[in-house]
Parts: sequence; C-alpha cells; structure tokens
Amino acid sequence: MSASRPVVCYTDVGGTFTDCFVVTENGDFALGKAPTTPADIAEGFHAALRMAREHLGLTEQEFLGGLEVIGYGATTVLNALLTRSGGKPGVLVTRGFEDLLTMERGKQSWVTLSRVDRIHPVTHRRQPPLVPRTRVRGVGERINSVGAEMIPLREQDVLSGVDQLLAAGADSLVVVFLWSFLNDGHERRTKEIIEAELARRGLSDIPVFISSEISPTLRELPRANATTIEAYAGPSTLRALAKLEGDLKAGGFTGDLQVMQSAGGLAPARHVRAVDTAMSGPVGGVVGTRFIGELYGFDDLISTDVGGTSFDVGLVSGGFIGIDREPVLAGLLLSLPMMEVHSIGAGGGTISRIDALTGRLVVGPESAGAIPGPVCYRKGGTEPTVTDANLVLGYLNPAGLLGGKVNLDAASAADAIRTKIAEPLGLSIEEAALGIRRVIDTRMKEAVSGLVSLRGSRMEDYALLGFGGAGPGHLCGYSEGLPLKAVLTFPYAATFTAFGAASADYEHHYHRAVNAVVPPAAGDDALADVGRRLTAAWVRLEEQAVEQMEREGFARDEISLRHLAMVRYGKQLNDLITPMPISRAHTADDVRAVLAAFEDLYARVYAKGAQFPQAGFEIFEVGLVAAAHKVKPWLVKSPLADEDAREARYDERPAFWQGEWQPTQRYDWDLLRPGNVVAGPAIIEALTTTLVVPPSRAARVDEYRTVWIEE
Amino acid sequence: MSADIETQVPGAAGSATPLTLKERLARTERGISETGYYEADLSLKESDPITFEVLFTRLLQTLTNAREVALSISASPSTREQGEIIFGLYTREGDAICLSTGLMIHVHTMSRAIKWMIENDYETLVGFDEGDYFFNNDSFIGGGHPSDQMLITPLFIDGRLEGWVGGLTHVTETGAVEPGAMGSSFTSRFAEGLIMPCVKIGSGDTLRKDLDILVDRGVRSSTSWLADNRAKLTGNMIVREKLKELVADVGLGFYRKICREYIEDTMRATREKVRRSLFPGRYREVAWRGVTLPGQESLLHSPCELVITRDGRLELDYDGLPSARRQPFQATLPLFEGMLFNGLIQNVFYDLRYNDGTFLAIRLNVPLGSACNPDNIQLPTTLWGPAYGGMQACAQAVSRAYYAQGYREEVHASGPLTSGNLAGGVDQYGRLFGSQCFEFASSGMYATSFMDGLDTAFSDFNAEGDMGDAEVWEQQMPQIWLAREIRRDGGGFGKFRGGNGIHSLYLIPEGTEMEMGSFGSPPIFSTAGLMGGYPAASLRVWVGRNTNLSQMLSQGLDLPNGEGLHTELPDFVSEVEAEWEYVPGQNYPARALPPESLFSVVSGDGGGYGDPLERRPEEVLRDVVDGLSSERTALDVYAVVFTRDGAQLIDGVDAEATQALRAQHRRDRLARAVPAREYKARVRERLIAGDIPAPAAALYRDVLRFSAKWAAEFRTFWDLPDDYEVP
Amino acid sequence: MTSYSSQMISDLLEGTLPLDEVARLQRDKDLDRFTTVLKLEQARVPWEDRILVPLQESLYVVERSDGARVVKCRCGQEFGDYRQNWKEEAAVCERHPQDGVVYLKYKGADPAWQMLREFYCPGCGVQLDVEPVPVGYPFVFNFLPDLDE
Repeated sequence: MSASRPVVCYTDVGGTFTDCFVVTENGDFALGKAPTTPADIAEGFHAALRMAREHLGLTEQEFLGGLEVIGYGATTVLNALLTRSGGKPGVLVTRGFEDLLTMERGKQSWVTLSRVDRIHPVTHRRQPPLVPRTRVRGVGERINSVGAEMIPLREQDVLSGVDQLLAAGADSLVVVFLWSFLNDGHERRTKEIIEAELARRGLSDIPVFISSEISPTLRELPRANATTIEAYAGPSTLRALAKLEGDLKAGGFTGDLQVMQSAGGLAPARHVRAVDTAMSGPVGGVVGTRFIGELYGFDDLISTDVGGTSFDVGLVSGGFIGIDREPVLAGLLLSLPMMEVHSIGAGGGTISRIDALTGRLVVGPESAGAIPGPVCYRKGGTEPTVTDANLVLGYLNPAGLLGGKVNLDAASAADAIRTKIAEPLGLSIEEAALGIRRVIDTRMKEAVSGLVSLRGSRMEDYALLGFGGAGPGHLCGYSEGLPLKAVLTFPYAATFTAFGAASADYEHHYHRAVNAVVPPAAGDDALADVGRRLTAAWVRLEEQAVEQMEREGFARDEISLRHLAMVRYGKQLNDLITPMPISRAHTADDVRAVLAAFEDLYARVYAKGAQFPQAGFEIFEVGLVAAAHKVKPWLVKSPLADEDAREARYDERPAFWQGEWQPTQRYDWDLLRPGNVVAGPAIIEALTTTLVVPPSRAARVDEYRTVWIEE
Repeated sequence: MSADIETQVPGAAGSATPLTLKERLARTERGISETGYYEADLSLKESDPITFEVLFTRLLQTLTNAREVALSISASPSTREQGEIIFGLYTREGDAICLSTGLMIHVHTMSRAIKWMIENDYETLVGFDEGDYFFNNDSFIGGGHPSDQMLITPLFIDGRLEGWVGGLTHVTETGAVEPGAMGSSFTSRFAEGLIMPCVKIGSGDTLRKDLDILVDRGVRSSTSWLADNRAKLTGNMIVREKLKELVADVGLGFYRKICREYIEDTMRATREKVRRSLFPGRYREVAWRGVTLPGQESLLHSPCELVITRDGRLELDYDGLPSARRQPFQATLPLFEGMLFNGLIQNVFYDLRYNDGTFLAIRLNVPLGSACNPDNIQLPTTLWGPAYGGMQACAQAVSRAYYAQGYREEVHASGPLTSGNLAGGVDQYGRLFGSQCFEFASSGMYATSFMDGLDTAFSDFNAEGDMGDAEVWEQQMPQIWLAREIRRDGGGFGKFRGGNGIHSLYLIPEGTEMEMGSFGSPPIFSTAGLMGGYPAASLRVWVGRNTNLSQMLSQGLDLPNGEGLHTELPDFVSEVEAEWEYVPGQNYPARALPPESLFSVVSGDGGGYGDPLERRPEEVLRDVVDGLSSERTALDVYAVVFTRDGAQLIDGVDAEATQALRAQHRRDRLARAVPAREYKARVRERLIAGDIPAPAAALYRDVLRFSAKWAAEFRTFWDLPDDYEVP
Repeated sequence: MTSYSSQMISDLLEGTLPLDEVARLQRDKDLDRFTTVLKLEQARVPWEDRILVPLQESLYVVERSDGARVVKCRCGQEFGDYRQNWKEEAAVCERHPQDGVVYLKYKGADPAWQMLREFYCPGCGVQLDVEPVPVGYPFVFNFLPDLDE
C-alpha cells in the first residue's frame, strides 16, 4: 500500500463497533474496525485508528501529524440515557411544576412503540425519570405567554432549593422556568444566585445549566429534557472528549478534534454541547448523501441505510438536509434541531413469524440483533430472519460473508423458514422466503414514499442512495416502481456513514424565539413592524454565530450564513422551516417576500387547497445556519472500460427469482471496472456487502465506481 | 384472473346494468344477513397470502401518511398535540376497509355517515363527483358530537365511484351555548352550536368560501374548524391519488375483490381471536354516570351483558339502559358503536386489520329510545355519559374473560373518566377565542394484573394519550397554570393501584374577559376497580373568586403550588382567601370569571386491581417516598407500617408489624360485614319503604318502566312483587 | 408454535414478571396458556379439588369429588354452585364513600349517590369485589362460565 499522506479521518464509536475511515491525499480510503470499549471508549478508538494506520503502513507520527481533520461521533450520550448511567442533577422549576419530569408527557409512554403496541395500551411503559422527584424543587416566579413577568422571582426559594438539592446529592444544577425562552431574566438571575452560592461554599466545580441557553424554544418538557440531558450526560462526555483530544495531540496531531452534531455539522470538541451530539450514527449517511449529490448535481436526494435491525431514511431537499425540530431521543421528547431520520424496525436481523391467534405473517419490528442473530449464523438464533430468507433464496453466499470469515448454515435457515413460515401458510420454502423479502421491501418502500410525501415535493425529483451492510441486498426491492431520478449504491456501502461523516462541513445551527404575528389582512405598518422583529432576531443570531465560529478559529469571510424563519398560518401548531430569500426585512415588501417563500413551500409540501392566508401568519422562531468549509474526501475518477464485466465474474449458482430457480452469475465487486454493466439476474459480492440484481434490472459502474441501478 | 373476478362483482364493468349505490348497499346488507359472509370466498388471500399482506401494508401506509400530513396542517391543539384525528378508506357501500392510527372511535362513525348519504339518495339529489367534499358533524348521522367533524370525499376510478376516503378531527369550538363545545348544561341539540349534516362544502378540490364565512360567523373562533377542514382535504387528496396509482397497478376488479376480502378476512379473524383467547361464558358489568341538571339529578348506569360463545361469537346486550331525555350525558348510536369498537380494538383486536369486519362479527343490542340510542334528534348528545361507561363495562368483562383463559397480561380495571375544562372570551392577544383544554387525554391509566396504572399517560378514547405542554395551551387559552401536578391518591387503591390523573390549578390573568367551565361526572365513582380493587377517586372542581392573591404577592408570600398531601381541604383552598365554590363531580357550566380567580380541575384516574392488603409493601413505600401517595393511605388502606430513622424520616417497611396489621384488617372486615342474605333482607325493607336517595330512585323508576328485562331481574333479585315501583 | 416456560407464566400469575417479559407475552400469544395456567393454579392452592376454571383473583370453579361444581376460595371457603352468584355466599359491608379511611371527604362520592359495597371471603377476609353502587342496586353477577362439554 503506497504511503500517501492521510488527510481526513472520521471515527464512529457505535454501540458494538468503532469504525475508522481515512482518506489520503490521492483519494485512497483506509478502514479500521475495533470492538467498542464502553468502560473507556478511548481504547477502542485508538485501536480502530491503529488498524487504519497500519493499513496505510504509517507510523503514528506520520499518521496523526499528517491528518488535517479528525472527526468523531459517538453514542456515549445515548447509552448513558438508555442505561440510566449518568450524573445526579438537581432541578429547579417554576413553582407548581415540580412534577414536570415525573408527569413528563403521556406521549413518552408510547412514542417508541410499534403501531400495534401503540393501539394496545397494556404494552405502554414509563421509563424511570432522569431525575427523581426527590431532587426537584419549585421556585416562586412566573413569566407569561407574551414574555411579561407575572410573578417576580423569589430569590429565597432559589437559595433554599439549592441547599436542599445539594443535601440530596446533586452533582449539577438545572433551571427550567416556564416561558424562559421568551424572557430569560429569571433564569439568568437564578444562575447568578446559584453560582454565587456555590462559590461561597467552594463548590464552583458544580455546573449550572439553564433551559434558555440549552434549548430556547416553546414547550417546557422538551426544553427541560434537553437541559437535564446536558447536566446528566454532558460533563462525563466532555471530559472523555478532552482526554481523547489530549491523546491525539500528544501523538502529533496538530488540529482540533471535531465532533459530529445531531444536526449534521462538525464542531470542535471544546465547544460542543453533549446534547447536540447525541445522535451521530445515522447523521453521517445523510451528510454523505448530500456530498454525493453535490458530486453528481442532485439537489433532492433520499438516503437509505439498511443495517441489522433498522432501516433509516433521510431527505436532502433543495440541497437542505431535513431537520426535525421535535426529535425523540431514547424516548425523551426534545425541541432541538436534529437531522430528520425516520427509522423503522426492518433490517437483516428482522424476525418473521406467523401470529398464532391471527394466522398473519408478521415481519418485525423485533430483531434477532447480533446475538442470537439469524438462524444461519449458528449463534443460537431460532427465529427465521430476513438474512435467513436471503440465504435460502441463494442471494447470499453460503460460503460466507466477509470472504468466508463467517460461514452460513443454509440448511437450518431453510428448516426454520419451512416449519415456522412456509408450512403454516401452505407455501413452499422459497415462496415463503420470497414473501418475507417482499413484506420487508414493501415496508421499506412505504417508509421512503411516506417521508417524501410528508416532507413534500415529487418522487420524480429525487435520487435515492442505498447503503449499509444490508442495503445493496434490498435496494432493488424497495426502489422498485418508485419514479426516481436515479438509484445509486457503492462498493463501500457498508462504511458509507463513516465516509459521509468525513465529508461533513463545520456547521452550527442557531435558533431564537420571536413574537411576530401577522394579523389577517395586515397593512404595511404591521408588516414593517414584523420585519423589524425578524431583522433584530437575525442580527442577534449572526453576532452569536460569528462570535462562536471566530472563537473556533474561522475568519469572518470563511463563514457562510443561511437565514431561516419558522412560519405558519394563524393559530396553526406546526410551522415550516422556510429558507429565506433575504437576510434583512426592512420594508413591508421584504416581509411579503418572506411570506411568499413560506406559501410556495407550503403549497409544495402540502397542497394548494390547504393554504389558509385568511388566518394570517405567525413566526415564533427564526433560525440561522452558520457553516465553514472543510477538506473532504474526494472520489478519484477512473477512465471508463467497456460494458463487458466478464473479468469480474467468478461463479454461477442458482438463485430463486419470480417463482423459479434460475442460473445466476456471481461477480466480485472489487474486480468490476468503471463502465462495466451487469444485467440481472446477478449477485455482486464485496467483502462486507452483497448487491442483489433481479431480472429486469441492471447495475452500471461509473467512473467513480458508483453503481447505478437501471431498469 | 381479473376477468373472472369482474363477473363475481355485481354491477362491475361488463355486467348488464350498473346498480345504484343505494341498491348496492341494500344488496350487500341483505347478503350478509342471509349468508353470514361479507365475501363468500377468500380466493385471493388463499392463492397468494403474501400479496394479500403486502397490498394491505400499502393501504395502511397511505392512510398513515395522510394522517401525518394533516397533523402538521391542523390548528387544533387536540388534533396536533393529542392526535385526535383519523383517516379511513371505505368501499362503495361505505364499509371501512383500512384505517390510519388515531381515533379508532370513528372508524365506524364515518361509515355510518357514508351509508346515510347513500340511503338518503344523495347520489341523485345532491350528486357525487370527483373532487367533492362532504362535511358532517351531526352525531345522529356519524361522529360523536358536533366537535367530531368529518370530511368525506368520493373515490372515482375511470369516472365511476369506487369508494370513499374520510378524515375526522376533534375541533374544540362549535359555537355552542358554552364555549369549547362540550358544556354540561345543554338540554337540546340546539345548544350544541353549528351542526352541518353531510353538507357538500367543496367541489373541484376547493372549499366553498361562503361556507367558510358561515363557520366564521357561527362560532367564537373559526381557525381550528377551518384549518382542520384544510388538513382533512389534503389528507383525503393524498389517499385518493395514491389509491388511483394502486388500482392502476393491480386492476380494478382485483382491487374491489381484495377490499371485500380484507373485510371478510377480518370478520373471520375476529371470531377466531375471540374463540382462542376469551373464555366462553356470560359476563356482566355495570358502569356509572349521571345527570346533574338542577331538579333532574339522576344516576345513569350502563349494564353490560357480554356473551362469548364457544365458536367465537361475541354478543353485547345493553338492555337496561335508562331512557333518553333532555340532558347532555347521553350519546347517539353511531358514537356508542364507535366507542365499543374502539375499546374492543384496544383490548382484543389490536393486531387485526382495523376495519368493519370486526364490527360485522359482533352482535350488539342497544334499545331504541335509550340514552345510547335516542329516537329524537332534538336531544343533546354532547357528553356521552353511559355510552362511555358502556365501553368501560365491556372492557372489564373482556378482562375477566382473558383472566379465565389465562392471558393475565391483558387484564385491567376500568380506564379514567373523560373530564375537561372549557373557556371562551377575549384572550391575551385581544383575539376572540373559545376552546377546550384537552389535557385529560393523558389521565391516569387503569391498574393491570401485573403493574400499577401509569400516572398521567392514558385515555380510553385515544390510546395515544398525551396532555401537551402547558406553554402550548397557554398560547391557545389565556388561563395560566399556577400548578400542574400528579393528583396524589387519585388512582383506585389495590394490589396494583390505578394511575393518578392530573390536577391543574388555573389563574385567570389580568387583561382577559373569560367565562370558564368544566365537565366530568356527578359526585360518584365512575371508574370501577376490578376483583377487589377500589374505584378511582371522584372528580371535583374548586372555583375561587375575589382571591387575595395580589396581597399574598405583595406580602411576598408563597402562592399555592397544588393540592398537597392534604387530609381534609386541599392546600390551595386553605392557603388562599377567596369565595370558594366546591362542585363535586366537576360538572360546572361555564360562567364569567373575573381576573385573579382560581379554577382547579382534575382529570380522571385509573381503577385499582385486587385486594389492597395484597399490595407489596415496598411499592407502598416507594409511592410515599416519591410523594405519589400519603402516609395516611399507606396505613389506613394498605396497612403498611414503616420504620423511621430515629427522627421522622421513613426509611423502610416493618415487615412484622405490617403482617400483623394486615391480619387485623382482615379480621375487622369480617367483624364489620354481614352475610349476604341478611344484607339483602335489610335492603329489601328499604326498597319497600321507598327509603332510597333521590338520584338512585330516579334511575330505578325510569328503568323499571323502560326495560322489562332489567325490571324483572331487579324484582326477582330483591324478591319484590311483580308490580313493585319505587314509592 | 409460540410457547413460554411455566416459570415465566408462574411469575406472571404472581405479578412479579419483569415488564419487558410481560411485553413479550402481550405481543406473541401461546395457545396452550389455559392448560399451563390451570396446572400452575392447581399447584398454588392448598386443597385437592380439581380446578375447572379460575374465576377471578382468589376464586376458582372446582369440581368436588362428589361431582358438584362449586366456587371455592384459595383459602378453602366454598361459595356454592357456580351457576349462582358467589356474592350470595359472601360477607358484605357497605362503606361510606367519604369515610375518611379509604376516601376522604373531597375525593369520595356523595353518599346520596353511591356507596362502596365490599364483598369479603367469610373464610379468610380477602376483599373479592368492590361495587360502587347506590342503595338497592342488585349484586352484579360478573361471570357465569360456560363449562358444559
């Protein structure tokens, strides 16, 4: 392996594995993989880096010294929440709302459940609160829904509260007052009092978090959740990051460790908030999808990631990554911008069964996971999974995945499907296996069209990217019949998310509450007044953004700003993130332009008939996305060879297509050359994934070795 | 293949004379009653079970997408925050084929409305065209009360009407006499506000502006109503267009046939599920409601008899219901059917395809003229009363059937009563408003045989219960929460306790003109426990006028923060000087409230399960430590003795003392009690002497006349003469 | 066909089965449940009569050696023929709905509307049912199982 200089490295610390992805100056990729080490994630992190480095044949000095960027994403915050293994925050809330975190919202008792469970209430459960009721105290104060003070802050409540919370063992303090996002006076004053008191007691190492800083948006529970999460999982996470960065610099790395944020941008470890980094895994896939889109000139893309247990769909529309402003994290409702990724329980490990009472074929959402895994893995799995079906149909190589590292037990897979699915349904084993595939592919397809119809615009505008270990195996299935611009996959599909993450820009999302109501038939003055409010808020956000990014080492002219307004019709409860045609609204016409942008988007996302201007408009929040460019991986162009893929062909075995066994060509993905075209039926095998090309579809390899699925 | 099918479908392309919808409907209903089948054969399912499953997945996802989109357009908090919305796909005859998640109550109520239009010759008198939209909120036709507003559009394929798409949302202002649509004072339909019975409000996919104006001038605040119409229109369009694609893929004949098979298949699956999972026998339960109109105070009951046969038939008989009259605590038949359907789906048929097949598999008797099937459309049907109770009673009966069969993981007590508060006037932005706070959609859940009911998380009428954030409500309605808390000791006591509901203490702010009211029940236990568990606590409302809150503020005193673990008066009542008004049961017709008034309401709590003396002492301790239960309850109800660390702090359970105390409690019970025969003799004397409190006497007088069956059983049980009347 | 260990079902009956395990039972039903539960219930009671069906908490319909089918409490107390309402043989007590012991003044029903009618086992004093009813309301006959083969 030629020792070309590494430029960008991204490491994703997942639940079970830590993946490292490196791009060198001449566009080569190097991969590293190591088991995640939850006790001290640094261990697995360095192991993965080492593997990639040795793959490139470099010394640690050459490797770390050469890298310009080291990106990092981890599930540590998520795990802390799922295993309830965080700190012990004490919480001060508006008096009368002491039960906020224990009442939570009814929604949190079912939001993570399947459709059937949701309608079956005895399955609903409640998780233990992050903070027990015994570590919550009320503070006399009240701001109202227009941001005015109704009840002054009772400072003695703050002091007695702090006293009791510390006595109860609080290792951090959280302040959540109602409407603080409109008027943060009481929260700020409370923070001052607390910090003074902590200093007096020599406890200044106890951090204080206020909701108007962490998540300044409407809805007290999501705001309280976000703030509490930061207190619960933040300190330990940030300590771990600082340690990692220290190790890297000691090893010769000269840059900053960059952490992937849930909204899709990288930010220096020293400046991130833990709660903003909670969801990093799926993010890389969507970011990478946008990157590929730029390469091929697609503005509208669908990212689909098929793993062992879940199918994740994300959207890039008009070059914008879809953002979810009310995401759910470990069953907790939040109001922070996170990349919108719809996830359904459908993957290689998804279990299928016949329900004893209804006689229906049920596929998922339960998954066999890694342990016990599919029947064919011989790790104790007894329930037939999607992978078992693929094996029985001859799509997977029984000689094994990962070039034979894992041998698959086709016989027991077939047996499980026969006894548990085929016989009860009165079908042959192959029909039953094909049935499992059709059901799972349909659910994936419906998840895709569902998201597109929900977030608007036409399927015809979109290109779909399929990746993840099991992606290429189902891509043709779940894209069939969708009127897409293009369907793409990649030889590095299994590590696409790491590749994608490495392509992320430096990016921060800012948002701020405004109170801009446009009454029905508003006159120029009213509009101009709304304009002034918007402008003032944008200016504040710009200052905030520039100040932070300059602190992170960017020059003003390196920073690009995108202005957003969250607009809705009067009294609606859901607003649309509307990209702004302008960055200042000085005149009534400027505001009309803002509203016009919203109405266009609205008509596109919903329907013309759904427009409702006679109700007036409301803008209660504006946003700003500040980004700065970063070196990215690049794909090397190779000259196109002819279409004949004969040289990559290595075998022919039967596979089951459309009701019958047919002789099927097998190809080695690594040997396919740019320009090659493989007509279905065919199976294209790589070390970490398998592309299934049914009859009537074909796979074309382009000059970047991207595979285009064609009719 | 599809050719063969065509000939099986009467009136399909190719056959001689197409039937009118009315003829087709009559024919279908005749067919079912004669053959017992909706579709004689399941040939498509049998020949290709996978396609059968796959196609349904597509239908389901289409409806679910429509719902998701509509949710984001809606302007009703109850729709957006509580998910009070559902979409359905119907056959030409108006039978439900497939539904989104959401308000399962209305699966069948929309079906009712479609059939009503067909039976009333809309096809010829009004006309059905592509792009038409029919609005209905007349609950005698379909829906539950004027708040339940459906928008129905015909599905045309190749110029022929092939089905219907319907969407329904709950809108919280209807121009009723009381704001917020659900007042407890209504004595006629004409108090319920603006009612539009299957009116064509749109054509060519456009809604009529003049009817927008009708609504705008007919209700206090029209934005929810009008924006929700747009949400439903969009959802219906999505379904309609997707359906056209789907029919183009599979062919019309195939589509018609498979839709009928979905209904037939569900009908068969319903019977099979009953046969395998519920023990055969006769089950009886009763649930309680009542009338609180001044001078008409009366209990209302829902006597439910459920018969489960060995071959899986499920028969429900509500003979014994009181008669309908000029009071709002009753419901139309479509609502009652919907309520039962909803309860049965949640408890038994949750994993079937939700459609009318389930409904067709059930036998239901609801006497005409009863409080759940009024024979006079001028009567109000706002607050459902015994219809809701009828569902609670049915769910308890089903729980007993699961218990006997061994499926204890499905066994639960009664779910919470529906209650809420209404307000109208001028809000903090100077806008006219009228609305209803829907936080009761997140009441206390019933106890099950394996765990305590969840606190503040559930409602029977919508399984996806949620109360929404206070800040969202305060944007919509001007009242301010001084306290929003878990209602201590609200859930019924038991081996597993019922979930606690929400207590909300509101302050009427300066600068608003408001009238405010609430609805709930009479002063009764309306949520029963099961198998020895206690019912949930009664609801109540406290209203304080001319409070001394501003003095308290200026003196730097603490404002009240809730009920506290009171043993007598709630904390906020003892802390605040005011003209306090206490209304047990929580039916409080809306009245003007001056600024600085306090208004305290509670949502329902769940029923308890099993003998409280069998509750694990550690659970009792945990509740006390978390402040969810009082020490008094721990001692008096659960007979648990705690240990204390020297001072007063509870630090554990005294197992021995607890065991002894519980034994004592059991002995006390037997000392208190008398043999049933002795007890019956005493009560019989009271009945003969007419020594019966008015609310019960009013019920007995009514039902003894109205239901021969119930009268006979009553007289036999108490060994009274055949002509016995309550003196 | 799905089936679960009798230990798991036994824990369910005891009310001690972990909630995620309960969820498995709720999602995927075993068809042999009735027989499994019958065996376990039979093992839980101190007497020999054959259980025909569990009626509710603490009560069973059993077949005595003399062939009679009666309702029987876990403690051994009998309530007579299963075709008559067992409540006719129970100990009964009317509780004031605001007696300050179970329900406080502001949380209980108005005694003019309802009281709490409690049914106990005369043998062991276990509380078998609580009926929130007005004076003069007939006992509710909750469950008449269909046992005839």
